Amino acid sequence: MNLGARRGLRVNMLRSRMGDFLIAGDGALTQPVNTSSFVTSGPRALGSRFIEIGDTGLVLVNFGVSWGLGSSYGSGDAYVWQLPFPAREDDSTAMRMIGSGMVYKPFAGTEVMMVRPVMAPPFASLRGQHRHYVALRYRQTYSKGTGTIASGTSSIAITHEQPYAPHASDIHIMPTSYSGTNNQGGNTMWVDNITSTQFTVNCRANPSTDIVFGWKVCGHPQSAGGSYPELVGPNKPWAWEGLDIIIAQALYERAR
Amino acid sequence: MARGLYPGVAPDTWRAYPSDIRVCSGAATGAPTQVTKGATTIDGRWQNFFGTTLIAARITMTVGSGWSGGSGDVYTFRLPFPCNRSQFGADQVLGSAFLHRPSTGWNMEMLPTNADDFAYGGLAQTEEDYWCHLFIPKSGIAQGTGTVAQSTSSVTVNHGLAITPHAGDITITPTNSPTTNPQMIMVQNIGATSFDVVTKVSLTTGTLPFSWKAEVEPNSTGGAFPQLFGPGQPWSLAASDLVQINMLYQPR
Repeated sequence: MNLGARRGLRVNMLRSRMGDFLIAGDGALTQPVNTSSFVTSGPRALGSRFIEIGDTGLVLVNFGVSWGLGSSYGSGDAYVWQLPFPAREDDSTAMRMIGSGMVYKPFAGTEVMMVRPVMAPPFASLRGQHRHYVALRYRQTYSKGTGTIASGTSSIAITHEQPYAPHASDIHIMPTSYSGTNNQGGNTMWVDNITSTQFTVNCRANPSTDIVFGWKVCGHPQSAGGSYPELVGPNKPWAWEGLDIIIAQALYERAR
Repeated sequence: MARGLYPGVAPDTWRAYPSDIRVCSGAATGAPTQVTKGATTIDGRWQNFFGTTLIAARITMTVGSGWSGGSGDVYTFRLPFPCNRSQFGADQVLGSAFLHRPSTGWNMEMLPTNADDFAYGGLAQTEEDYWCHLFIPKSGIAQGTGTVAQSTSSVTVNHGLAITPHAGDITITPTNSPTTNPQMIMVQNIGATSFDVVTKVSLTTGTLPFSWKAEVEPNSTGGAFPQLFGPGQPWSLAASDLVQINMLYQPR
């Protein structure tokens, strides 16, 4: 049945393809295992679809991952998806942007972050076949929570859940409660001991009552975080969980 | 004169169609109130992409005077042809989009995908294939100024967000040196409509003027769909606000 609004419209024009979904990198890596019901086994993409657009040499491809509960997310530099045809590699050495997409936590906090598909860089593990793959570039990370500097102490360590050690100015602290009689917790709160997993929130001296605060980190890819820190990968831009989604659309020129 | 990127591409091949905006909502939040468009314009255009049956579509909405944004969960926009969503379901990416507020210079990147089959708003059954909705990375952005008055230690700020912000979402920047040392500036009583800016001690002399800003990522404290463009998300639309959507998709 032709469900289209115009005569001659063909249905199911885009072709389905279960392309490889891999982790690529310049060092040691392990592959993800997706337990999604959409996926038959192992590291496979959520049914990518593609179409060649006439004789233009352009290819439109939709691709993504729907993580199943119990998935393992691997280790390495970046996730890459296999393209239906290799991309044309011109004299542009940069990772060219070719579409739009997002990473999405529909259930765990309902978080959304925009990402951009780019041609995969020449990772050593791809052994010269990088033109067959697409990666995703992200711009920012964020995490937030609450903390308390208890009376009798002057600091508290916060686990920030960022992929990299944030810069101090990436961290925002907003007090929400302090009724102490002294001013030691007052004017000056600061962060130190910033690592890849934690930072410490300090006040000037022992506050006479608890200081409760909210915190938020808006971080960015860090050059200290291995090769290609700006690409979506294991623990980037956030720690993956079951039911998380990565989904994108790209329009690119195939190799001829 | 050929102005296309490729030989054979004819200029001015875009065809107009009557796009539209509709407010939809889930069962938990009930029937929405539809927008009042006033002088708002919605310009829908489409063409076959390079002679294929793929549809290239663009929608431009310029909010005009007399606009009222309605209430409910999600704005949806009418496509020129129904979309074949295939196995990617409701979240199949269709293209790219942005929201722009000329009065402040704000830009918000958005991502158009197939619409859900909402309980209210008329997108049940297969009707949803005729519509798209837009994911947003921020559920709300708002800013303003306030003052903690002399002899007081707090002031209530109406944030105007559709989502209750987290304390870490709020930034308070004093804009003058207070005569009385406030010792600590806090936010308290964060609610769906307002929060309090509180100083630890009462300002016996002088006032504390400040600037505030809140940027809220989608979270579970809002409506049913805090991750989607809708009434009040990421902000309440006003005259001159601009929505632009570009899409490339397979019709069904």
